[in-house]
Amino acid sequence: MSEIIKEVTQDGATTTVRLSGEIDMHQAPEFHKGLVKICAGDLKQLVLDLSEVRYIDSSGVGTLVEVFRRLKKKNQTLVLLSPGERVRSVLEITRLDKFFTVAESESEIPAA
Amino acid sequence: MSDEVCIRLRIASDPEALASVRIEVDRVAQSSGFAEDAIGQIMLAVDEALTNVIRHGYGGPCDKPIDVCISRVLSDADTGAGIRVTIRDFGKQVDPAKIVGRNLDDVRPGGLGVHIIRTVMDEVSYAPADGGGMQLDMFKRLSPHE
Repeated sequence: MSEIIKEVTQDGATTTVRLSGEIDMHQAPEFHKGLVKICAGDLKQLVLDLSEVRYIDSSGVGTLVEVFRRLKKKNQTLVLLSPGERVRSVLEITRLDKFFTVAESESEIPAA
Repeated sequence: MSDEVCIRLRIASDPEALASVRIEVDRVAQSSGFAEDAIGQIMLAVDEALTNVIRHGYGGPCDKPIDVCISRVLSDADTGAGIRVTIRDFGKQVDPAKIVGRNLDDVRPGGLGVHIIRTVMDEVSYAPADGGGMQLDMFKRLSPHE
């Protein structure tokens, strides 16, 4: 695990990654490396639990976009779960709030 | 004429330093009376500006100086109360007219910093600095509702 990636669980075809902390230019490379490794696993859907992410900037958001594209190439999907106020704000400012699939709670996560 | 309370920092062009600046911006923005959502956005804009200096102004080295001045503007006849952040680096100089945000319809990583800065802050001004490098001045007005 890393400073940002706290837990990875798998439930059938869905892999859920619990993230925590602040994702900026300093943390982004390790965050990126960790997610790329997870994307290479056997999954149909990747859920990123953002409920404990206190801060994210465009470096972190850039990683989310790249992960989305990697998964899409393999017909896999990405869901952003429970983004907090600050994360949501960044997504809105960059107009990526409509780009990503966002679930406010686990019950809203689409079936894999 | 304005009445300002200012914190000055000198940091190294090391991404590890970004969190410490965010803490100071948070502190000044809180004491200025900004609402939580605005505080988060101001922190983001400053963070993006510093990231651009590290990445583009200096292009890599982690030991170059960046001067940051965070001011609580108590009153100003022209701009009103708010927060002003000035970032001064000693790296590459560029034509300010070329510092523009990119088309957001092209969804891809990177290139979002300038758009974020210009969206969040009410006034943004880039200028080549005497002696080399660039100076970025940003101001966000305190809303009457805050």
